[in-house]
Amino acid sequence: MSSKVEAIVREHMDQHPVERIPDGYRIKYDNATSWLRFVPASGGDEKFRVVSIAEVSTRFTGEVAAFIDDGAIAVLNSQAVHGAWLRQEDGLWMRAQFTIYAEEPAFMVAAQLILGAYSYQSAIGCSAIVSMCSDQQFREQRAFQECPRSWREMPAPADFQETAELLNDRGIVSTIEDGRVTAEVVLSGSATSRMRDPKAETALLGVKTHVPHPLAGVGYLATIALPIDPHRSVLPAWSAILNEQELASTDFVPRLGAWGVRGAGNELVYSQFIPMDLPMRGLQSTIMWWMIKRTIWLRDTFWAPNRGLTVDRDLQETAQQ
Amino acid sequence: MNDIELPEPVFEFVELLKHYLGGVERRIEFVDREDGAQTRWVWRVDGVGHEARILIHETQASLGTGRPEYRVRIAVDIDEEQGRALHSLAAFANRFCVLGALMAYTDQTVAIGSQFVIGYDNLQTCAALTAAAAAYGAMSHLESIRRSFLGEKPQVGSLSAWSGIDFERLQYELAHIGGCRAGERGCRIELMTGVIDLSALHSNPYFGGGLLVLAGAAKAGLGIEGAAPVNEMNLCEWLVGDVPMFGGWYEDGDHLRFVSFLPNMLKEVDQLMVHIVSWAQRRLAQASDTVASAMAIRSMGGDAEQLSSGLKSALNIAPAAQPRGGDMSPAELI
Repeated sequence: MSSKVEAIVREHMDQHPVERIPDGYRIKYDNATSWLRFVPASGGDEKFRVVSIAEVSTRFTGEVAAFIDDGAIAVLNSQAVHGAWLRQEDGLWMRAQFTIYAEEPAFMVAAQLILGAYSYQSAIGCSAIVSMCSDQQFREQRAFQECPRSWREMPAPADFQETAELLNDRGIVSTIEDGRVTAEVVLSGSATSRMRDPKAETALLGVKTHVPHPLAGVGYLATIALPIDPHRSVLPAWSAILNEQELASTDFVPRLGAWGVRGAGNELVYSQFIPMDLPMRGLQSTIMWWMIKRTIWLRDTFWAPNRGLTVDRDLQETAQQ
Repeated sequence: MNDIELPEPVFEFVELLKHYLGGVERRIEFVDREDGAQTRWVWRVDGVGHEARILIHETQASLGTGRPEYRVRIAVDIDEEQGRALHSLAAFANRFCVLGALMAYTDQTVAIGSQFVIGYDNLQTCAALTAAAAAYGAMSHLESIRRSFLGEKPQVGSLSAWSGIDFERLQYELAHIGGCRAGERGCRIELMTGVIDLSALHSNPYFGGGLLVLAGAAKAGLGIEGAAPVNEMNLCEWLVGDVPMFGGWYEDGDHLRFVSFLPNMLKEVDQLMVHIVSWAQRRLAQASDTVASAMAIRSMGGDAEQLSSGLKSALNIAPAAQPRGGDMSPAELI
């Protein structure tokens, strides 16, 4: 056993009658199969040495997954909970990953998020697919999930204030409002905020606790909105590319959400929702740092000033397909 | 009808429109096609109590580009006497907009209009709205004005089909732009350009329950002192607007608001609320430009006559008969 995180997760899992496989666990349902695997990995630096990747994935089969096309996957990804949706040759998948470091400072939180994803990914995934059929189906699934619609204890406003102050101290423009903290990360140019300069090329990041998920109830919602969106015809392809690239990474922030299509089908937005009805002190700060690191990765890998997302030729061809 | 050759997006739209109109037992009849610099097709909508037409033409901006865009206009002529009574009241009457704006022309005639440019992203939504606007837009608008003048209290015939769950979903969908707060019977989106309110509490005098959508901005912020040029703003949007127009501008104290009312029958239209909010966002972002254009029209003075006549000609609206003498109150006429 290579980390405290894995030890805690395994200790918990060993109390349940689930099938053991060489590198983890598997559960079979009627229309889905879920895996929790600890994949050995290496990377990182001296301080944060990567030892493995905890991967929670579910493959959806049968009629329930048959009608989901690429456009629908991009929409599903805008409501992602416990992982990103992706199409592979062998079917429709949801996948979440958590890079595990030898000395993970927040090992309890990491273990809790991994166990939460494995417990609910297939159930919430099935409900999300069925909900796409009609408003009636959505309402039935929402009732069926019985997720809490209000916080047992409201997150403390002072925590958000603290997060905003921390970000502002580091030169990242940040504001708070009741139940949310927002920040802007510069993608190009020198302007640091769209509030001061509407043409500023900044990504708008938010962590909110006042926006319940349609199916999963209350929790921490994090979003990244870009100042320039790709043309709507390539949005599903961009959504797929970014999700695949994230999931192919080793030393990266947790992949619990997804890039998806929002608005009137014309906005590429990253969304991550962590269901929770008791606040965890400092979690909004941690999530915000994940979003900032993700945005910096996006900027350094794909962003071109005044143009937005661009890809090298190979990826461009994939996007056009 | 089936023999008309139509470009693909127009054909697809017309088929969808027929489908939605069939749902409310209405139909369209093809009446005219004009070929010229801009090909245009005209249909009449039967059984709606007013002279209602749907006109589709290529937009001026796309002519010669090789990538034609098509604008759909819904125009309902108000008969002469009603029109004369409503002419001077257009600014006031538009607070009762449902799915189109009441527009007053300089020759004393009045029409209720809606428009949008066909795009593959909005076809289904706009086809449903067009069907509702053509079938019920004028009737519900005029009935609302009539009841207001007569002082009749709205009757609660049916509750809104929109509920807290719908607003909660919208709030989630719009979470990335911030400023969206959902409640049990409504939703408010605060933007730097203005405020969008969606309310399931306010019944329409004609339809009863539905969803009232208001996109408002302070007049001062738009550089308006005194009376706002709302009629001209509606004319501008209707003539060249690139945001789908299903409603109209009106003046509300120190604010300008664009109002639409979505009857319950539209509840099941896919992604309707998201589109309506997206259009409202774009409309508010462009409001300063719309006001500037409207001011320019107002300052044209005599030239406005020419513009008005040009507008009507573009719409294929027959010249108005000469107004007759005698003054009647709007309530008597409507």
